[in-house]
Amino acid sequence: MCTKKIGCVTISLLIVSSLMLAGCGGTTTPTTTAPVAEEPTTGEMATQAPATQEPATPAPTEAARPKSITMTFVGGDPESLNPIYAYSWTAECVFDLSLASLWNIDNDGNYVMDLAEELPTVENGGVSEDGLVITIRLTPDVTWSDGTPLTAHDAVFTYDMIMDEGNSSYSRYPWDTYVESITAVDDHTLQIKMTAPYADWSTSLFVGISRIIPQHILEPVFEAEGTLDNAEWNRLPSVGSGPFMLTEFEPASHIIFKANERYWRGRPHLDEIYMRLLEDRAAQIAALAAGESDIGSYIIGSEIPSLKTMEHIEITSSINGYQVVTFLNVDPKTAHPAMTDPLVRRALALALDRQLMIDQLYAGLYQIPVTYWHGTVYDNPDLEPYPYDPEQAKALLDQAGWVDTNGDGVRDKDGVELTLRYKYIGGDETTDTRIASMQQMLADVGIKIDIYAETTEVLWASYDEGGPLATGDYDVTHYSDGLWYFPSPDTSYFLCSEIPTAENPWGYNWYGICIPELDELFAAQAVEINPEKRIEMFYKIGKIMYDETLIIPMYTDPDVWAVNKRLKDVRFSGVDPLMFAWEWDVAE
Amino acid sequence: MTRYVLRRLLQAIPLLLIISLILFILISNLGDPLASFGGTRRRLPPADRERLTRQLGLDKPVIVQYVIWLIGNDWMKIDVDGDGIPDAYGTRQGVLRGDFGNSFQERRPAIEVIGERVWNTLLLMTACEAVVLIFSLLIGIYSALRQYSAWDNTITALSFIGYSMPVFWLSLVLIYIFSVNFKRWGLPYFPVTGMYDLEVGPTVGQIVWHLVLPVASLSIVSIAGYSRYIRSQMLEVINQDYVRTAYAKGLPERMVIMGHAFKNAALPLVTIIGMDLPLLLGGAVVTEAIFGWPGMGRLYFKATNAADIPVTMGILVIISVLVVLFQIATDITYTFLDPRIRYE
Repeated sequence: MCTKKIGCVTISLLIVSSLMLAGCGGTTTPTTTAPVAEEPTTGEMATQAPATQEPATPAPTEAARPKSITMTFVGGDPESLNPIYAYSWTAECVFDLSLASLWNIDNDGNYVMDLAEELPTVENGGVSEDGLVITIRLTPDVTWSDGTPLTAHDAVFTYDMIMDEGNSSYSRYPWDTYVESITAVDDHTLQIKMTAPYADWSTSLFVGISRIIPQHILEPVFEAEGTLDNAEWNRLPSVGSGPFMLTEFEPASHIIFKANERYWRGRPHLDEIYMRLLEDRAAQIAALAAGESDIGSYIIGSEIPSLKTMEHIEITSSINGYQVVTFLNVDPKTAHPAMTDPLVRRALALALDRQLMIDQLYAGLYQIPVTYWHGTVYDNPDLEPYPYDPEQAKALLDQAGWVDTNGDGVRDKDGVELTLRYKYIGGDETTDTRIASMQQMLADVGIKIDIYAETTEVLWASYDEGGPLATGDYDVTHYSDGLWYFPSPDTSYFLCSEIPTAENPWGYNWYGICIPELDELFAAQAVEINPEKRIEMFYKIGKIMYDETLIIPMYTDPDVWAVNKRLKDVRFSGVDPLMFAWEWDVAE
Repeated sequence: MTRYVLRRLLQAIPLLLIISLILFILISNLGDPLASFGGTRRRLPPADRERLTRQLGLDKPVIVQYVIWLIGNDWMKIDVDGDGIPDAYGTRQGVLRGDFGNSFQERRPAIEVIGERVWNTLLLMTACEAVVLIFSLLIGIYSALRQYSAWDNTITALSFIGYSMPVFWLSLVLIYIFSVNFKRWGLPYFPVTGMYDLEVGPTVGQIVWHLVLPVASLSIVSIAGYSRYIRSQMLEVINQDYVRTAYAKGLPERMVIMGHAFKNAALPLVTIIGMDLPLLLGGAVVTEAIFGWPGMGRLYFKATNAADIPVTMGILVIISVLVVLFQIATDITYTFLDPRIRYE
């Protein structure tokens, strides 16, 4: 009797719980509602506010409802909402919405003025003949969202805060290397004096992730505490200068933006943008499928097939200067002896069927780059991607003296097996699959690779910390990398001086590349302000690296977005991803 | 009893110090905290890496870092400007004075970072634990009382299936059925991510609605396991002589089961719950990641991956303290369940 009763109680509880929960439906928002024609009545009923909810004001009519969209971002929160501490792509996207920059660069490489009236050039007198003084006129009448004028003094204050020892700012580069001083000639004229001609000033100073912060808000904080590290503004900016105001930030959950009524271009079309911060890619795909997300970010190739089944979603991509590159350790002190031979390195490149990997694993989404400067004007047009030619690879290995003398399927030379250490950042199953296929392709030509998957913190640790890449304890690695100030081409990765040593433990030339001609070209291009000459220099750099097969570009890694078709006028940029957010709108 | 509790609390102090030292040394060897700064998009330039190493105190030996973490550095001068000469007193007060330090990643107090997530995690995990306890008790007791019946066999089979399901797989299946497809089919559907609908705001109804799928995915596996455990404990007890005597005395079945059998079967269960409760704070990283629940699990995973020592240590120390306190509470609870247990 009692046991029957327990059984009945259990079943009753289950039924009651189900009924209660079925009644607790949340309201849907306009952003998550599919077009009316597709929505059956039961779906609408299920999404009404639950009976237990506090009495709410009557739901606004369709005309009065705010125009809002939801974006999902995968990969973590912005580490700070203060640009002097931020570095991530998510943070940069947040700043595109909440903070203006001097100018933005669109997908075609055009400069689109924002705070600056025009791009300084030698012709218009904005850049001195020697390239050492840059004068920028700011657009008058630009204000912060509280009405305080945004002036050149804010820019000077920003520079001071970046450089102050009391602030643990993320990076002082290039300010500490190239900038001698910044002054406000008047409220709307900013003058930057350089220590040397700096070719990439237009893509790194107060643009991109580098934004101007409000002096009138933060200077009192700095004066009181001696640091901006703990400023409340870093977590919830009380004022902004972009098209949207950041009104709410819940870490690991969401950011809410509302239209900035005082935006200098005029109020944006959208009233609100909700940014969901997710960790899981599958959750983003599910959110796009369910209509909970209007814009999905950082889509990868393996997700394209499922997105293509969603009729309400379209895919768009922007070149951002990033590509997945297979880097080779060529340092004779630490690498496998075979890696110092260009013939072996070329054989590695020829043995890999990159197009097959792109087609099978990434739905054919990506391209095969030729040089590190793919997608920029600095990419040498005379070079073609390494072809897939395993027979030629075998011939090169034979020529280099690596033959299988002991019949174990792995080539050898002077008693040394051609077994390479492949270390990479693990945690992604598509990457793991790709590495496994590469292992097989290389095995087909007689090269064995031992695979090691590590975390970023371990693999990229410094020389002092015994990092495998920094100490040369690897032969082959890969990661997505690109140009810090894309589309500017400068990089210090391949300089002799950047090879990590005990004296220089933080160098980034983990590959041991040391070619004097390359060093000379890199040094010359950094200060070359003539664009045509600079392009020619990079053509030569690309040719040297290509002939020596110092790296193997695998495939491009563009920004790929999934956009709900209910939105209109949505476009992105690979340089400043959300620079056009002020134009976005919802289709009627 | 009071003396016993005081003695346990005093014993906990050196224990926690030793735990914190061991944890600090282990976490300091997780990797280079600065290695992932910048992610893969904008790596830290060498000069900035050197500066941040100094500013974050990572240039000091691990044991010195531990001492500073414990007692602060406002009593000693540090090199602020990087010229090698200590020129100003530090600002850290140390854990013993309530200062857990600043997160390396976010450059703000670690306790603030943790505090933002604690309530979200407690909400999720408490709801989950309550559901697990209620359903596993009901199922386990019923199953024990109807041993080898059709119901018991069905429950056993379902338990094994439930226990075998990986949480991440279950979470995604629940999303695709109850969120994506239910919406497509015009049925009442659950949300995919987050704690509430951002347009509506954090109302009770919203949070409960958003809790359903995460709690379901977390609790199904635990219910499967706990119910088996309770079943076996009950089976052991209901065949004891005193239970037979209670029946013989004519006591109602409910009183025999709940007043005598369950009370004795519950002792080991109290131990398990006592160990579980402090771990609630650790959250559930997979579930939180999939459902976009901003909890401690995700924070702990992210902080550990990034070797963010202040945040990781903050979470571990809090959990350690709670484990010690809950163990004491568990011991005290025993005395209520079993009058034979007394402490001097």
